[in-house]
Amino acid sequence: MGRITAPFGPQHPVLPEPLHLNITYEDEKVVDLSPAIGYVHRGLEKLAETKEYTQNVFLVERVCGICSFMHAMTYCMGIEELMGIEIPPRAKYLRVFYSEISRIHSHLLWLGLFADAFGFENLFMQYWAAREKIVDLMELTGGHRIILSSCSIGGIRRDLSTEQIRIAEDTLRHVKNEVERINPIIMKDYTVKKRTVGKGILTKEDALKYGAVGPMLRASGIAQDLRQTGYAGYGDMGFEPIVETDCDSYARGVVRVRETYQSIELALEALSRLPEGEAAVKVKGNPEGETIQRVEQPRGEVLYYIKANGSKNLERLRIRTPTFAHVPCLLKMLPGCDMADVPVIILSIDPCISCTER
Amino acid sequence: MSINKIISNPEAMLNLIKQYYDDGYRMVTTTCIDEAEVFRLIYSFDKDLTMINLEVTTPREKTIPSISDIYACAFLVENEMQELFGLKIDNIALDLGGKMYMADGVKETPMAREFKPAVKGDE
Repeated sequence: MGRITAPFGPQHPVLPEPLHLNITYEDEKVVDLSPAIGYVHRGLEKLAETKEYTQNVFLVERVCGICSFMHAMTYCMGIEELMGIEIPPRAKYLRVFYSEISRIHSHLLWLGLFADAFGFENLFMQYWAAREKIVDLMELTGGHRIILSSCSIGGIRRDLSTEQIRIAEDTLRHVKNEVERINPIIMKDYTVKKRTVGKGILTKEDALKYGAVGPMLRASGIAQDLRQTGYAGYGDMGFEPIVETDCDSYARGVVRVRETYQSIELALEALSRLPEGEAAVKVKGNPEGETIQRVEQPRGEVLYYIKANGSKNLERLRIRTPTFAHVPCLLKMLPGCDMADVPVIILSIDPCISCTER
Repeated sequence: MSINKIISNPEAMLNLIKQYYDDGYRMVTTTCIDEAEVFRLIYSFDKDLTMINLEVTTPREKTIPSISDIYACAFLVENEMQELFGLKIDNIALDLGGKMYMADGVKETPMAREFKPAVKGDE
């Protein structure tokens, strides 16, 4: 049989976002592909040049719903560096807390979608029921279910009360029990293993060559996680990255499962370490200079380049999101695989096209 | 942030980036900054969580070589810079032909400084 080229996406049952790949098949094997994105590009980097640097905190939160807190935090860290601002110790641990509940929320969302991709609809609902508790916690503490607007330049906008901390600890323990109950069902399942083990291989060398980040990099045996650099409060928490060495779609799932548990522990530890005192410092003046900041989001490393000239407006804001780094990896992971495996392999990168296109 | 190396010769740039690749660096991204007469490009690489930033400045009309032969992942950001800034890049491993973000036939480069967005009501 000859070659045919067929579109995958932008609308596809397994993808919640518009990723479009033109895939060439020979019989039922993938032989080539070319990405074609651009369906949700919003020009946020250009828009950031027209807004005041303080307004951009709210703008960058809208790059991605799931990682909104960490987008704001990375941006704030950059502005704080340019302005020489030292945030209070309490804010550092609150940033860890919010980062980790965002990661739990993201990984549970992905695990639900992963289950749904195999037709495990009930499991999908159970993962999302657990995730719902985290979203409720976000609403309780930040006032909103997704876009928290809790991070501000100089610290954290809304401090936690003693009662909120108690509820947060109870919620995290409840979610831990829930995921401990649900996870084995999917990770030990025969069908899931059959569909993911050995599929979408990205070797250690290819992970570096194709620029993989986050769980993709760590599932390929590379122990790299930006939390090791000790930003926010991570420096005092003895953080060690989760690593798997099988380099396949299953290993990427295992990394996210293990990271969910790790994030629950980190969030609880951050709450237990919360020192007394202010959660933010006042900020005066305008930023000047240029900086690059990197933070470990649920999908991997995000990079912010900020150039400021001492006025209220920035000269340049550049954002490189994790999925932007993962689209090229698909060019290595998909060729040679069966047509039926394409959706699951694509899902294994945890794609976020909203982030990618900004 | 620190710029570790500033380079003006494209050939020297390729040699240096090849050296980073051989030394096991991961390419993080390239950042394009429109400085009016020139484009300033910052190539960022990482090894064991330490980042190296390589700066290259190029006149607006000059074509620069692609690094996608060395780092395959570079094709995406190079297509983006080509489309959004109008930066000319030679031999991108997978050239999306200006259709990565933009619709067919669109020639504007919206991240370039001279770009003026259309005002509502304009023809």
